[in-house]
Amino acid sequence: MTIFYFAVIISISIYEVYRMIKKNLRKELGLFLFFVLIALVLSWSYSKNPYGISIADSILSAFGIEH
Amino acid sequence: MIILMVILFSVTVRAVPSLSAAAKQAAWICPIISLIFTIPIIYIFSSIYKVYKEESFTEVIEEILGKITGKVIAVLYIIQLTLLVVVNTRYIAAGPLTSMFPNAKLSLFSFVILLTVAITIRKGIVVIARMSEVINKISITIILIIAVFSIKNIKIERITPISHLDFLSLIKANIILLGIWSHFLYLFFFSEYINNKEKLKKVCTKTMINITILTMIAIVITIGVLGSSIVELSPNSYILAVKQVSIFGAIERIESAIISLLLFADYMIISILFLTILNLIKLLFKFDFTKSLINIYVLIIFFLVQIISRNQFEMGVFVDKIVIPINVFLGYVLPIVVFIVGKLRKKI
Repeated sequence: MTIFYFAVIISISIYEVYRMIKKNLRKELGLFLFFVLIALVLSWSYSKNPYGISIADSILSAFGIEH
Repeated sequence: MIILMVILFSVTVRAVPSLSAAAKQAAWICPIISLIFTIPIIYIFSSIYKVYKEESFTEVIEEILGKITGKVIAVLYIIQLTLLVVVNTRYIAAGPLTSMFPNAKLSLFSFVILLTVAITIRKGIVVIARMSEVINKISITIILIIAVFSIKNIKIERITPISHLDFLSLIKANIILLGIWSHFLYLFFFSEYINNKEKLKKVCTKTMINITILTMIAIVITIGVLGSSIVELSPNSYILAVKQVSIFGAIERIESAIISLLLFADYMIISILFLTILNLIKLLFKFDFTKSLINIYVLIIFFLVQIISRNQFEMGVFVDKIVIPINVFLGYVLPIVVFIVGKLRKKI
């Protein structure tokens, strides 16, 4: 599944980067690439351990809230 | 403001079990207390927009609190709004899973919802607002018809007695409702699109009074028909209460109308929050064009929806203990701080 998610993210990225370069949107390109990086990290984390990760659990534990 | 009425309906209906758990039979009084807290915020925004007629709320914050503080606050709002989109999408996607399709995958439902949102938000806030105008009239008509025909099912002993002993539990329940009504602020991130700001006080007050009445009706129907002890244990309590309604003993199963409205309201809330995030990013980074960010942001939201929590119980605690208090702070406390600092610096 990791390869599938990566393929989707990269295809969307190629399409959007092409459009942004065509429209000369240099500033937007920087933030877009940052979001691509986040998406790649999230997709890799999710596909490696789909039922183990929980953001809510991490935040609640950090604040010491029982759940 | 019509957008606000449409989006608050679904979130409020989802929150009725939490309100009932906190305030029991007195939960139907919460909207009145929340209105008392919301009216000063309306007056604050009215004062702000008498001076800053064309700016959005982020630009006002930058002007009053300084550029760096303003940008940090804008980033906080983007993170909180992203969290709200993720939480709302998770709740909506989990609904069919728990009720109708227990063997299906969460990723399938969240994908469908986010794909719909990604396609339609490209049209912009104006199209969403026009859709809301049409749906708002239909939804208010349906809610009022259901309210009228639910009267015979409501038992007065389930919504009374109310006494001074309920005061503390009402304050606790009120925080939940304020956390929901804080969505009111997020619409002011589009204030550069809002015309006739001189009528802001009157329009907003009228809208919040309408929302108060509709929320009270929804809570009275739910608790009056089912009782607070059943409501606090049932995630779809309003739909359960509406299932008891029959029109002239002949027309039943009208909960399907409510389910359709809730689905539309859910789609609307995700769309509006998404558009707000894009508008904030546009203002924060001074971008000309943010449509290119839609697809990748939708993907990020998709993965966050899958990993936000392991189950609905964890989700519920997370929303009650973390999301709602942050909403109350960003939606009510921060505008008051901005107003006070603005007055002290003689900018308002």
